[in-house]
Amino acid sequence: MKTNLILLILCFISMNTSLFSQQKFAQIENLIPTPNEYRNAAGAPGHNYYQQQADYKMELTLEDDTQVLRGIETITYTNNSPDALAYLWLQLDQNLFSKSSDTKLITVEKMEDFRSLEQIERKLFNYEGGFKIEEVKATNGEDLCYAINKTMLRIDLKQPLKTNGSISFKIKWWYNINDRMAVGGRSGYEYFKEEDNYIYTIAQFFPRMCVYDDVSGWQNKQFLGRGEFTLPFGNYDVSLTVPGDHIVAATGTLQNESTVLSATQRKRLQKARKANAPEFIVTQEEAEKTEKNKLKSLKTWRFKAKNVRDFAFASSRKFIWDAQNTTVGDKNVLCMSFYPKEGNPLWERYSTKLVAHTVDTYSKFTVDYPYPVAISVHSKSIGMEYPMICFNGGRPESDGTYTERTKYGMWGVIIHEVGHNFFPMIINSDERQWTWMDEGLNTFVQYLTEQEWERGYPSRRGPAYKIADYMRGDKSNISPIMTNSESIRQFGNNAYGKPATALNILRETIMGRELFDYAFKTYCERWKFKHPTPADFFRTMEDASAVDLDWFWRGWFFSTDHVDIALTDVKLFQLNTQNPEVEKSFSRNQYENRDVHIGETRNRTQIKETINEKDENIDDFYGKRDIFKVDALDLKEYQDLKGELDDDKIKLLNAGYFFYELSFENVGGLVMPLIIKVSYMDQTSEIIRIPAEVWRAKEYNISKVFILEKEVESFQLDPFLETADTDLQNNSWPRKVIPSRYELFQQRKMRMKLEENPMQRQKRVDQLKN
Amino acid sequence: MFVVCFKAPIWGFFYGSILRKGKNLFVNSPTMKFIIVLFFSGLCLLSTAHESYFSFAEMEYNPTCECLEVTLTVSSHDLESFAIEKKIIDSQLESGLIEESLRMKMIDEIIFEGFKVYDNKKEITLFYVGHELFQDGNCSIYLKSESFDKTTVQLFYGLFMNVHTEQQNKLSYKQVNKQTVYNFFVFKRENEIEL
Repeated sequence: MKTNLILLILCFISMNTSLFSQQKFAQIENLIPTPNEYRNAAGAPGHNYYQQQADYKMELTLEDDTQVLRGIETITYTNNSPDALAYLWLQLDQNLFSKSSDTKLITVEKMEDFRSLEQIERKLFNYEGGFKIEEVKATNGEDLCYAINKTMLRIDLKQPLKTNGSISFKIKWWYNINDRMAVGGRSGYEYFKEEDNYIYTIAQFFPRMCVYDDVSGWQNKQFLGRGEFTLPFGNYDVSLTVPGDHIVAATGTLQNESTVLSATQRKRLQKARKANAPEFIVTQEEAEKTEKNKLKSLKTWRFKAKNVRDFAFASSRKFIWDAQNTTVGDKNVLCMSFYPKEGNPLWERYSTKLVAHTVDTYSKFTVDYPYPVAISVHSKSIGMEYPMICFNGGRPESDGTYTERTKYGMWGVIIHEVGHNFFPMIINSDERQWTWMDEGLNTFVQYLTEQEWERGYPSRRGPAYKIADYMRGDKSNISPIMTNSESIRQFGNNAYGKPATALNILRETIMGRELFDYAFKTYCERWKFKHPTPADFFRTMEDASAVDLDWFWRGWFFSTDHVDIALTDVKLFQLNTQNPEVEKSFSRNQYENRDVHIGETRNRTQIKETINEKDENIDDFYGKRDIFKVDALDLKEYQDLKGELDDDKIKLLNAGYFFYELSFENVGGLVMPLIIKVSYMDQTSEIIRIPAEVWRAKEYNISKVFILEKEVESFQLDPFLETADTDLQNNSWPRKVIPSRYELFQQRKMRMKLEENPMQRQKRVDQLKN
Repeated sequence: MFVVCFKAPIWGFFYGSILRKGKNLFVNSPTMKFIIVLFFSGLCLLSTAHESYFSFAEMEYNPTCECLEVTLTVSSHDLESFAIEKKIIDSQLESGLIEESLRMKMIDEIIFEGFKVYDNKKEITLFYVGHELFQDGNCSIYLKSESFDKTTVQLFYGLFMNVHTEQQNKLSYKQVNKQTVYNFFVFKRENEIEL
């Protein structure tokens, strides 16, 4: 009994010890939901997975003289869930702009925010924002009972909506469109004072159904401004009445070309559908002419879109319009750009080509682009995404020149926003809850796409070393990636940069490109036109690759640990061959090359002769003996030993291997693989890659023995900057001094010139010539 | 949503100038208080997320010149926006940096106001050494200090903290085989650093 008790206690202690030492490699079951019939353990939709459907028919009127948008929408909502729904929730995103918006109340402010008259003026800007809901009716004209809670609207149903049941209802609304440059916002208008014209980029403009699903029930978290949108899929039929000289770009396919386009425009559009380079449908010259003469007439543009989660549009008489085709699988995608003259010369040169390139590259890494069009609309200073259409910044100077920064900024924003068609428009994650699921994944594929656009593209995010500055140091004011969208601190680095880096590290270092690409594509295929969660992503990446990544998700997504692995010690050992000829010669060599005290060196010359050198009787057996001399007994013992060993062992003894014991310390807390560059004395080198699981037994200090055939000159950890190691100074043996950025600058300085906008400089050169 | 391109609108003169003109009038005015409370505004949130909210510094004490060598890395967009707001430049950061008078105004009024080193309450003079603009949207400013004996210094690194409440700055102090990281927040803009 006593023995059993002791065994039990020992077992308990051992289990606990094991738990404590395995925290970083503990599986993440306790951090993610249990698989179920809706989402299975493999990370795929479960056998009872369902999602709701919301179809919209809308009639919209854009009032250019008052900047008001009016709409009547009919929503048909289909309940595919196993639950009867007593009420429906809709999103009223425009209420973010209402005077009673919570967003204003919860914004932390200081007196510094009121530091200029202009700023105070801006704060006091009197904008009557928010939806004006005029009616909510059943299709038979009966009023429906509804309640508005800030940015959410609840419709109370007379009878619960049963499984597989549908309900249609009508909402009539209007709102004042926000001046985007004064009030801000993802959508709105930009006013061009000189010519009294507007560009409207309109989104989140109609009451939209919330998602009801197995994860959140109704996802009706209030819209506070940062956490974006969670929307069900559906079909849209939208009629848009705008000034007669406006050009309209929108989600979906234009249904009435013959009504709204001229014969010339239709002919050009037809040509563009077959072109593999941009063709103008509206030229700059035509757009400039149109913007000078404002028509009073109206036109109605009709668009239809299938299986999209949202609808957005842009409208202006200032638009230049170009388009080209790209082919994805056996489908043609019409890539288009709409921009004012202010966007040129950048936009006519790059925008549509970037759209096509993005559609092609994302289709390769994720899923085939399923929609008929992909559109980039010029929109000063922002980047914002919607299905098939996005609004992108990148405006040259008024003199038509632009800096490289502006160019790369425009390229980056177009790739990023068009890329959002895939995350979250197609792979439709919950943006309100998890920003990283669309922004992080999208930023990762954006990096891949940028690198295929231009070799050595200076991508802002993606490469591991670029996140090191953010990750090092005190963590008290940064959040794990797995943080609700509204609570994230350091939004850009947290939700864009860090997840993009993490995926890049998985692809380049942990899994390898082939395994990663297959698993990532599997996730995209599984969840296209569905609502994935983080657990579905984590599980699929493991399920499709046979790589246990729980430690990686735990460290990179659930913690704020950083990577700092130090090479703390290197010890060299060699096998004793037991051969006296070899070993005694080795010892003699070591003795002769030992460090010698200065006194001994000086004594060699200053003491002409010692007593025992003068008197040969002083040295006895010990004094005369040569300890490095091989004697007969040494040789006999070696022969005896050889007799006991087989040939392989003798060969091993004589192989001359170098045994290096390397000690590593996990300073930052985030376990990562050990990538070691070994440089040999003969100037050759090799790379040794040790998986992160080497840290399983001990999470902070480990050692590893490397048996090498050649003597080593140096070891270097993370030689390709692929792990986001935040301190490179402790990565080398012998210690290598890493030059500071200041020192590197001083070295470069002589070769550098100051960065004038090169196009403006060229203009000055041209002026000199003239 | 893209968090690179948001450009703050062009604002006017700086907070300090209002205070100098009419100190208590601003805060004590009941009308103004009422207006502030009434229109407590979160317009920044309504626009788009700001791109960076971060700047990074690397600092080393060079025993040869007995001085500090500093590299401040900021988002070019942050610097540009703030310089426009302070009416130092009209638009492009690039144009501002090329012209010495504008460049030095930016260094004096933005960089040196946001990054200061003190030795026992005496401010150590910093000098502008150079700058680099990188294509990935970052900008590095290189500074060195006057000579002083190696000691413990107090470092103020509140760059952009009066503009962005979320701003965090990080400084890596490099020594031989050692790097120490110091964080600076809106509520903690100073750190003591043993050189």
